[in-house]
Amino acid sequence: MIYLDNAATTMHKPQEVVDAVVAAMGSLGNAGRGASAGALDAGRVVLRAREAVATLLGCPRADHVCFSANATAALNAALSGLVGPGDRVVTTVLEHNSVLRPLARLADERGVEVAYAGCDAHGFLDLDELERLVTPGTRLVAVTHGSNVTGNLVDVARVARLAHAAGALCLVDASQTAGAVPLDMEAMGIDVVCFTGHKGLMGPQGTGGMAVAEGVDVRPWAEGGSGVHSFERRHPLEWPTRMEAGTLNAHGLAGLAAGIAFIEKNGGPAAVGAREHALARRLYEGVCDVPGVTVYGGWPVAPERCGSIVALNVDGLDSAEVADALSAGWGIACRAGAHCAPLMHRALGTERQGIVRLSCGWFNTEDEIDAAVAAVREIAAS
Amino acid sequence: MIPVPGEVAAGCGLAWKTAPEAREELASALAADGVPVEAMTVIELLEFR
Repeated sequence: MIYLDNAATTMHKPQEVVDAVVAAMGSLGNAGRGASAGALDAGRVVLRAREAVATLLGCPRADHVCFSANATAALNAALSGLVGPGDRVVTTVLEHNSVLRPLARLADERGVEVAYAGCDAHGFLDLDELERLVTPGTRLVAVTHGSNVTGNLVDVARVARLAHAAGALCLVDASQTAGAVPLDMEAMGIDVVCFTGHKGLMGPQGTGGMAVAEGVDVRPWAEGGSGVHSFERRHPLEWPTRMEAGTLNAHGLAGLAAGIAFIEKNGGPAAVGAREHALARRLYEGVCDVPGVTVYGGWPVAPERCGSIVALNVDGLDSAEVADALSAGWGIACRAGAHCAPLMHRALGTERQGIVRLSCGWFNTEDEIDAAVAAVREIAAS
Repeated sequence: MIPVPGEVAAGCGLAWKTAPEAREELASALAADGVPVEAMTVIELLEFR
């Protein structure tokens, strides 16, 4: 298989990640639930993962890194915990349903006003429109750091500045960029970063979370077991416990920490991302002039603002048909359809056809990219 | 299994692809295993390789 669906999950993990998870599964108790060697070891594993994420994302307080099952859970918790009845939130048409749907729910159930900034013809966020929409009194600006459809990157530092200028908080969905695009939330002034562990961070599925700037109050989402203050009626508000009810996925977090260590060992997000971007650029350059192929995203005009995704269609063919052909004929795994990003597709005019998304990762090779190019050429020519 | 073609339904999902002649056989097999079927649609797909 040629795996080009890294934007969905990184199927190939560093061996260190696998080894860390296996070791954890044979040795860890439940962090914070006792003083046995296993429980204390679990606590250390969780702490190391917290610190690794804090360093990676530029979060000054490791205890403000709160883990969850995935980015969707973190986004739901963050949005629910930051936004109150009648608040105004500004987001974008680039967003994944893990941002759009919780906001829709807040609109329906709590009377939250949600405004959506659009994009240009290449799918880049219209930052001028975003700025116009972020009026004084806006509670929150929620944006993706990178589109999961096109891979286009967003200048989140600028978003944070304009959010703060209006008195709003800034939340960034780093699902597509953590580990592959440098992000320093303190330097950039970002209030909350939500991340997933199983994509660019090359960790296991079932890991993710949020990093919260000091002083930002996020109300607890889930209440339950905390390991401390058990006789209190409500969930403790100390960080990070306030956002972590129940047993953490320490096995997974052992793997997440190993994934982050792998990234740091290989030069950090900038270097890792550069390699992945170069592979995507090779793919783009191989398909961009193929008759009958339409490529979406910023590659033609600003490749430096693109991640490691090449989004395309073959004229006259449903994206599902192309994806099936790539898989059945060439053993190439990718994703077709709507990618849980309905507004992005509406903006690109691809609601019916969908898009074929090929997303490169650390373990892809140039030979694999060239094979994918050849496959797309052959499909387009048939 | 293939992604659901947009001609059938928008918004992703999975579909079972087979020749139209096998429609009844497929329906029977799915029913026997208690698999709920949302729809069965005949569409034309290109064959590659």
